Amino acid sequence: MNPTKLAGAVYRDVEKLYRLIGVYSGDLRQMEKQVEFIDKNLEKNLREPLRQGGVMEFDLLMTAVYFDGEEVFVSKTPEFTLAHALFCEGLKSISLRQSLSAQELIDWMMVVRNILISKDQSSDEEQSDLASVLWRKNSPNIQISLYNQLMMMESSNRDLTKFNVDLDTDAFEAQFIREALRSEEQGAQAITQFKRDDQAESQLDTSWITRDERWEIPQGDQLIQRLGALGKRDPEMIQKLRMELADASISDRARKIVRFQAGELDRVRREMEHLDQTQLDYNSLAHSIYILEASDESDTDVAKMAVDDFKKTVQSIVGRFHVGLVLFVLKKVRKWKTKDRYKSLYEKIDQDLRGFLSTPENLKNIALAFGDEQKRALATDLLEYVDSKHYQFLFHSAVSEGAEIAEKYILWNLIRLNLPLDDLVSQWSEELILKALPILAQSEFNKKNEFLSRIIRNRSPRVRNAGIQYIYYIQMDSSALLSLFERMDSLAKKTWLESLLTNSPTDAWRSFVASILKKGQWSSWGDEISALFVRLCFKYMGKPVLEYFSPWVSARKFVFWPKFPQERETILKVAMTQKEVSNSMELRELVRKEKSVLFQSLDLKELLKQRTGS
Amino acid sequence: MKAEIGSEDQELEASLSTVSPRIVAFAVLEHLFQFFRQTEIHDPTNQIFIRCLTNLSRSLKSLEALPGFESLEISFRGEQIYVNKMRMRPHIRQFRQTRHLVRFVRRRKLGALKFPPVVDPEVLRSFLWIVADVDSRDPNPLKTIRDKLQEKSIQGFEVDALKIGQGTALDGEASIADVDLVGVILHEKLRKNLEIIFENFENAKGFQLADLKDLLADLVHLEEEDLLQIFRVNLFKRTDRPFALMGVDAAFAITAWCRSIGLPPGVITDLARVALFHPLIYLSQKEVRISPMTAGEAKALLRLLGRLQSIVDFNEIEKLALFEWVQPFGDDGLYEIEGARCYAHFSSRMLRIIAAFKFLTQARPGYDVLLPDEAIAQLIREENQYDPTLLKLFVNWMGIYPVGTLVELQSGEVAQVFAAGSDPTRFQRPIVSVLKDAEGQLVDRPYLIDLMEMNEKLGVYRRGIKRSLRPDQAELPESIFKMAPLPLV
Repeated sequence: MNPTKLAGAVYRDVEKLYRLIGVYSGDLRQMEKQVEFIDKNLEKNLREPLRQGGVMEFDLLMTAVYFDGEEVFVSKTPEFTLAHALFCEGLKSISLRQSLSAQELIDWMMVVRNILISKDQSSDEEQSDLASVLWRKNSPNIQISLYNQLMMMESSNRDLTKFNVDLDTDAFEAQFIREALRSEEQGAQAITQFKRDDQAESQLDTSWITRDERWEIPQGDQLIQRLGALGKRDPEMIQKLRMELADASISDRARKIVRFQAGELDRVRREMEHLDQTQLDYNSLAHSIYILEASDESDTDVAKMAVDDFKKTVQSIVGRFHVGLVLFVLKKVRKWKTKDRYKSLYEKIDQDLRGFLSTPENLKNIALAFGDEQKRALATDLLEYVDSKHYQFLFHSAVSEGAEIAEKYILWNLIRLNLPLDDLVSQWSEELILKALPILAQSEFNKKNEFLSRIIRNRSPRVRNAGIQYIYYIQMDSSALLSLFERMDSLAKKTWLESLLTNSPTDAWRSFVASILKKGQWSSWGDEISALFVRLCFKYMGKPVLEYFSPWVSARKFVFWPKFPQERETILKVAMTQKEVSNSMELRELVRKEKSVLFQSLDLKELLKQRTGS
Repeated sequence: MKAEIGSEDQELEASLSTVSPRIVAFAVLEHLFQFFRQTEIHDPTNQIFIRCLTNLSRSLKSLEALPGFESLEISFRGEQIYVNKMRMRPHIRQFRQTRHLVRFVRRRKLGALKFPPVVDPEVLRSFLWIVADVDSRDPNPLKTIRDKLQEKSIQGFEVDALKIGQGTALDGEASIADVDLVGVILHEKLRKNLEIIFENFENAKGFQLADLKDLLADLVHLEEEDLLQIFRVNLFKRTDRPFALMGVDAAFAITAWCRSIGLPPGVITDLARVALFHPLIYLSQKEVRISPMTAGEAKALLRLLGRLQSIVDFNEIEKLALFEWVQPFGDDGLYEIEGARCYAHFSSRMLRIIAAFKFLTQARPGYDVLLPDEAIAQLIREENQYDPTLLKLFVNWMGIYPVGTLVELQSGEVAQVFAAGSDPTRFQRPIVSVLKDAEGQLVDRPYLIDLMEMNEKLGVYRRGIKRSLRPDQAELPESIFKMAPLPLV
């Protein structure tokens, strides 16, 4: 389904839910089934498509709702729709985020409904003004933008001239005129064009659409970047403005001085459209910390007030899962650990925030954040504050979502944090160990050897065999390795040898191979494993091993018969196909001798034929 | 499922419990406005009216379905519109429509439009055209309309005449003066409250203060023009206890400014409360200056807020703005505190401009006060102090010659700037209230002149501003600033 159709489906469900609330007078028990149904729709049409982040933004107009410039909702009785009510109360648009559930929508709609109903009876404008309430309300996955006069100042010229509408009118009326004059299709095109022009002219940084600002420590710089503030966007422009302002006097130049430059108002308009709770919390926290840092023994009263403010703000950030701010607080309060006056405050905040991070839902969010390039740095920092007992769940969350990149980064960072490997081996499920093993085996960390050694001795054959695939990375005494190898079953031996074959020879492993040769039992492991071993010998020992193998090849029984037919066949087959030795003098000698042999296997004959061309 | 959403009746049933009659009533007003607006542009045969009528009929039907709205009367009292007994408070998106509607019916000297319970669209169309066709010079529009309704056998629709004494602008200045008086009383109440609070802090509770919340709610409901008039009146007021006056004036100015931008009432209330208490920073600094706070000053301010807790409980935005507004804008609005780089909230940046303007223009002992236009120039000159966009917005809104500025006209009259349009081309041509004639004599009754007025023959402006004046240069009696607003001549 294309995005517009998806958005249309989502918005129709929004309106449907609002009406259901009306039908059942807000009694949620009665509408359970319908809510469940809508929630499933949201999963399909909103949560899944927005899994990688982003929002669906709906523009509210007088009689219709638009998404990305296309009409997605109209009603025969627009006066009764949620969209119309919101439009009349001053809302410009509503944006839905990825994790929106039907329950969150209901909670939000109940606020809207209660205000709309109570407004007619109430005389208290501040309490009953929907725009003010929604401006402040922070619903984690519902973001509104309010209409304000600045929008009209920015858009009126370009918006209306297209329709030959008198400039002394407003967007409200213009929309009516558009609707009255257009055919449906033309109108939709016009609105789309308007929206695109709007974006093009303001040249906004649209990256914010796919970014979840809760995963950033909200320094003012980021906010400015997002708002596209003057000076950050175009240093020349700001300099020009500064010069003009500095040079200002009450003269004819004044008009020029106070003229707005393109896109300038847009920044302020966007700031005013809704309350940026993050900016508010960040700045408030900074001020509270400043006062707390500056307070001494004589400022008990001030410190108490600052602590109260600080705690309130922390509650606010926890309530809306702003991990960026949580991390900011954790980092800031760390220095209070050693300050007697704030030690207990530190302990309380630290405990609360760690507790917050340790809820299953938040752990899952953190786990998945490792898979997102933009969130990864913050998730990495946060990991330090996650108790080690949650590591398994964290990794499990990534595995269950199939987030392979996240799996890697989680483990790498857990290693960095000295992941208790004993716990991993003894407590993690077989499934998780098998997922973790390839990542850990190919990573460098201090206890890697110890870890792999434990894995290859694991009680579970699946784990053990999986561990043997990485035997090459183990560093152990060759006699210990040999003893271990000898105790392995055929499959494990095969895996072991294959693991060594896929890696470059090292002295330690040469020594291991040599010790097997020395013991001389390799031929008893069956054709396949013996051949693997011979290949390994050629790879690890090189040409000199031919010398060792020579007696096995040339030994005769009653002149005609090979003394070790099976071994010589294996050696010769491998030797003739092994690059490292196939052109060596020693091999040529072997081949020469072999040509004179009367009785050979068909395979060997074929190989000889290929080799000698006769 | 108890009810399938789909059929019209069920939709209606579902909607009744979620919809506000006010919302539907506004839809009626909007569509009525659209119809009347189009009657001024198009002739009755234009197809645009089909759409207009469809919308209006539908919204009328929707409203009639709501209890208490079975029959409909839209009445106009002053600037207010009532639908049956419900007073309509327009939001930012609705200001223009409601204002246009009020003017439209007022020009026809009508006070109410009444609609029957079931409306036939064609009859409705005829009725609206009869109303629209009334000539504003018609001495008895009511009779004209009623005759035409009878002639066309239209029943159920009625109109009422505009009633004198309902508080309309045409009824004379008294009613406007009443509105103005409300503002003046409010200003005075807030000032007295604030004086007591600033001098007594936690002990102020013993003084039977008026409820600050109620006062601010009233303040937010005042019209932008009224707020500015009161700001104008107080610009040259001298006082030994300036903090309260500075706070209240800033609250009036920021409320008016926010209203012009179209911020929601709750947000404006927050900003007004912060503006009211912004001089707390001077108390914590123990001197009147605008500069970033030291740690000691920040602690002192927090201590003052603590002492006020039982009187006013500031919310998070308000508290932040009280600490933040002294931060200069710098290159990009960022300031650093405890290693955190903060971008000042827009409420703090707006307050900084208003507070600085008030700071520069407030007469107080031992300080060389600036004229409003000088203050504007000073704000513009101070580099990196204010958000340039907000400052431009402020100047756009306030004008180069802000409301309240005393000026000498090129033709010799002494006048005070009464209103400045939002049109950037009118910065230097505001509407002024003439206080002294060209001979330097106080006029009996000040009158308004729009400096945009042209001399048609010469093609030049009739009057212009020569220079701004200090109160002592203008030589005006104090009492002149207490007069009510005047009609435009």
